[in-house]
Amino acid sequence: MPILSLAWKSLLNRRFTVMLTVFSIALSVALLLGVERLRDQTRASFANTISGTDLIVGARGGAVQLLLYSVFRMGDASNNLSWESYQAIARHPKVAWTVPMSLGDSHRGYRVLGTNGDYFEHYRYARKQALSFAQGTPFSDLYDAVLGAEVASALGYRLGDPIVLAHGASDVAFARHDDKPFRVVGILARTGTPVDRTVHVSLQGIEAIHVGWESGAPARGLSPSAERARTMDLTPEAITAILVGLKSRIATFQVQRYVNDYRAEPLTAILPGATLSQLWSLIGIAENALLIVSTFVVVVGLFGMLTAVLTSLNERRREMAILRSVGARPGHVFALVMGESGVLTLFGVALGFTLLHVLLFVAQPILENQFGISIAIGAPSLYEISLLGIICASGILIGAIPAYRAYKLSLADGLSVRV
Amino acid sequence: MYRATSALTLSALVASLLTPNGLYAADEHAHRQHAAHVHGIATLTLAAGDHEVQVMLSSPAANIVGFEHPPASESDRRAVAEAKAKLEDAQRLFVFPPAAGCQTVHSEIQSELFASAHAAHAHEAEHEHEGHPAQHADIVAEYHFECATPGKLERLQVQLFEVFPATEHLEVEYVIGDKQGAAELGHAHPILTF
Repeated sequence: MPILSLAWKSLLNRRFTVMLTVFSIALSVALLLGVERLRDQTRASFANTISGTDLIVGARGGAVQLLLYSVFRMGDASNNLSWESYQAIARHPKVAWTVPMSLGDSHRGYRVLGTNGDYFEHYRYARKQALSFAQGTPFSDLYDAVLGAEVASALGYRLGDPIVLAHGASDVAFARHDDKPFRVVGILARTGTPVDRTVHVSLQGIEAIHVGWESGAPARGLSPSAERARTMDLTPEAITAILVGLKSRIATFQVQRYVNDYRAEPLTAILPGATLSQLWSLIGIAENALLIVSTFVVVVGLFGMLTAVLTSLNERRREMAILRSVGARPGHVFALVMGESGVLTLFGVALGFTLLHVLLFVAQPILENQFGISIAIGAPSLYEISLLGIICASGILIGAIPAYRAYKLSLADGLSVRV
Repeated sequence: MYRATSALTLSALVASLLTPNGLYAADEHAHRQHAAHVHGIATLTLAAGDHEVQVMLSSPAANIVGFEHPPASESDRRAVAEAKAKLEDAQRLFVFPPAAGCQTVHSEIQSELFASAHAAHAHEAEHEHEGHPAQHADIVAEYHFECATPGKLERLQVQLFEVFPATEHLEVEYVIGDKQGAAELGHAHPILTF
């Protein structure tokens, strides 16, 4: 036991280098765990974006592109699909429900989605969770809008506030539909999905604000007043995508073929779950690269410790010699140095773990608001524990190198060692 | 990637000729659509619900038979017949976990190559000297299984790569209950885990 207190005092004596070593291990551990946590949670929230939808139909094009614009509100459709095709698909005997989606306008950087009431009924995320209203109700009037949680909180909107949609993605004065403002009637509860960043209005509302905008800007005198637009036929000619739910899932590929072979219009139907996993396997490459880099950071951290302990050995030859003179065996010296590396690693890992959690605690709301990534702060997963275990074991093993050197030196050196 | 997601397959063509939609095919407004066709790559869809499992394999005929022209010689015809027999052996191609207790109920193999096997003689004489350009041909195989314990359907071993070594990749999309997924199988990893 006295040898332990001696070891502790020896560490305290070199506290500055020791602290730096522990800190560098801690940082590398925090980075590795952080990357791992982020990877895991991103994958989960990615896969949780949409569920319960059997097929997504859009104009003929790439599956990933269709998924990105219809679900993630990223990128744009290359083509729209006609209302007639939508009707035909909705009438297919195996189709239980459909949700039409019309994209293309924006409100202060947030995408506007034109849809109908079925969206709130059928859209599911995570484990088949339905959308719920934090305040208000679905749209019923032509100029009603329902905001995603983030839109409402970031722009500070409340029920009853008027909002003006912009034509296309750019919010510039001449491209605003300011003659037909919408009124906020509902705010959705937070979902952690792109729904939070969406402004929802009715398909007819989208049509109404575009009457007379065929040239891309309001034609003078051609754009009817908000009230007159109500009296017009506002059935859209085309929409951007359709979410499809089937009566029986076993018919999924059958309906997919029906859509893909639909003769009147070139269409694409995708299985959102299958396309998500394809997309993830693409992203997975970058993800692995990130993990490899952070693994190397841990290796560098451990090497830093090795260097620090090895360098200190030269300064400590006299210390070792004194220990030997008061009865420590060479084996004790070996255990002492190895134990020191072990303690440094353990402290490093513990500090790293704490550091990560403090960081996560601070960063969580920011990540959730800015990137829609919700990171659960919880007990480490089995995988994380095994990662930490591997780091500790390697730290202790690496300690054998300086320990062996100290052992040899303590055999060779006498009390008269010159340092 | 120049593979289209849709496979306008023969079965679809046949089906569309039989349904009112098919009227368009003979129409002068015939739509010119061509599904991508990459030798070495095949697609598989699997849908499972209740006790039923439906599997559909679409592959360029080259992967299965070795050629895509209408069978011209006796050895061609033999190759086509052999390939068809191998494809019909569903239990050899798809190995479900024994615990799931899956039985083949039905299998159906379709291809331009089989269709022309009967009429080949008549057409050969006409076309042989015209330098008829080689057409691409696809094979579509549909299988229907019944599984006693569908809860045990955890994976599927696809032996396609052993039976038809010219098949390099198999792109799989599946629906099992509520779960959808995609995977890419190959010689080195022929097992699909759901």
